[in-house]
Amino acid sequence: MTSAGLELCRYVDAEHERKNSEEDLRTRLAEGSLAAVGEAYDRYHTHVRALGQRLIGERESVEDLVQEVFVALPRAIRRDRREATLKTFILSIAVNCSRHHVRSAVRRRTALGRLASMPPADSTDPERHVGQLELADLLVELLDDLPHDQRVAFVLSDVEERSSPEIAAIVGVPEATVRTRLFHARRKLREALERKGVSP
Amino acid sequence: MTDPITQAARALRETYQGESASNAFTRTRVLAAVRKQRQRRTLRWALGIPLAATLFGSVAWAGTTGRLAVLATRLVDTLSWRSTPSESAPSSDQAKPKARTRSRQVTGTTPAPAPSHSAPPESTEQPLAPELDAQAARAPASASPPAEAPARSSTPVDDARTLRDLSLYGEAHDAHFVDRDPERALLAWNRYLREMPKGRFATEARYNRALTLVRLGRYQDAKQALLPFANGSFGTYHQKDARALLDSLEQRAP
Repeated sequence: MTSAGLELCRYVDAEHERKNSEEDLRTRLAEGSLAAVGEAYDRYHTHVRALGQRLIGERESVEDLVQEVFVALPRAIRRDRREATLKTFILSIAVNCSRHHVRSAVRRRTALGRLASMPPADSTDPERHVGQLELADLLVELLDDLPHDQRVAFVLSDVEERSSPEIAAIVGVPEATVRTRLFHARRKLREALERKGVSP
Repeated sequence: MTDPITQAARALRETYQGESASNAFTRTRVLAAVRKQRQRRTLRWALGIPLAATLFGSVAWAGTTGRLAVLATRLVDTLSWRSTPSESAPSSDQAKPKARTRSRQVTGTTPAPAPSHSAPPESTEQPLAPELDAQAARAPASASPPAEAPARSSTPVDDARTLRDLSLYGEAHDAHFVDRDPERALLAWNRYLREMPKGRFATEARYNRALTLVRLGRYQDAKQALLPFANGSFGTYHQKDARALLDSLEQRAP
């Protein structure tokens, strides 16, 4: 067998094993196994946390969101129709749970003045790092003005670089709707960035 | 030059990458919360199943032994007594509590009047009397007191019937005990028993009718009417009084 053929076999085997183990994990989660919740947490917490941080635009309250997602997981998975992978399913729970966290974060930022609460830069290239932080910070500020659905679509697509079908599966809407939301989100953000003096 | 949105999105992506110093702490919190959730669910089942089984068993037992019907009847009776005043017409409202109070007086304290010697005039109730007495004689020995009425459901028809029952009884009671007019009272008691042979106050009405017959001097009719009470056809309801009256009537009109 050629090396390409061997590679393909290995890939198929790995995929088969992943599916089996995911199926097993789903079953154990549906049974309410504590070990399964721990295993799901270990596998997916980074994805959930990253999405939460990017959606909410801060680190402080994201731990609450992560906890909420994994506590809700055993009950939610019993109602799951298994149309998506476990990761997509968990991210969809995160998106559903994120709404009130985002709203709270926006309120907090409005009240306290977000720029003042930024963490100090500690990079080897401080100027570049600070510039990046400021840009990220500016984007979060602009995202606060978008409707939640457009915000989610933008973060999943442009920040997390997910495909439209994947976003549609996470959000639970048709792809066309995702694309429409993205179009409006980008247009509004571009206009807002231009007003702030950030241009190509 | 790069699109500012792409640039900003990259900045956001690189700033927030899902890292957290409190990762381990959050994991512990998650597992503790899930454990607590499971314990609550287990406790709910542990309490819920025995409670449901007890309730189901009780209802099944009551249904088998017939106690469920009795309870339901009592409940319906209670509810209908409470709900009727607000639903009924004002004139009927007045009649019901009045008659209820009087019925209590009659069962508890009404003294058996002494036989009177005045010659009673013949009245229109004459043909009805034997029929009523026959009904009374057919009444079972375990006949319940008037307060324990037979099972009724709280339908509008039943409510109207109850009000009619009370109204007729009140009319007869007034003629007998307030106006002390035995002729009118006899007519009224006969009317009550004709319209409500199984009415709430049918037993009282039969006894009071017998008393009226005594007052009117119709001793044979009175004896016939009192006999079922003396024999215990209505349980102990005025049994002693009926026996005493019968003895007295035997002496006067053998």
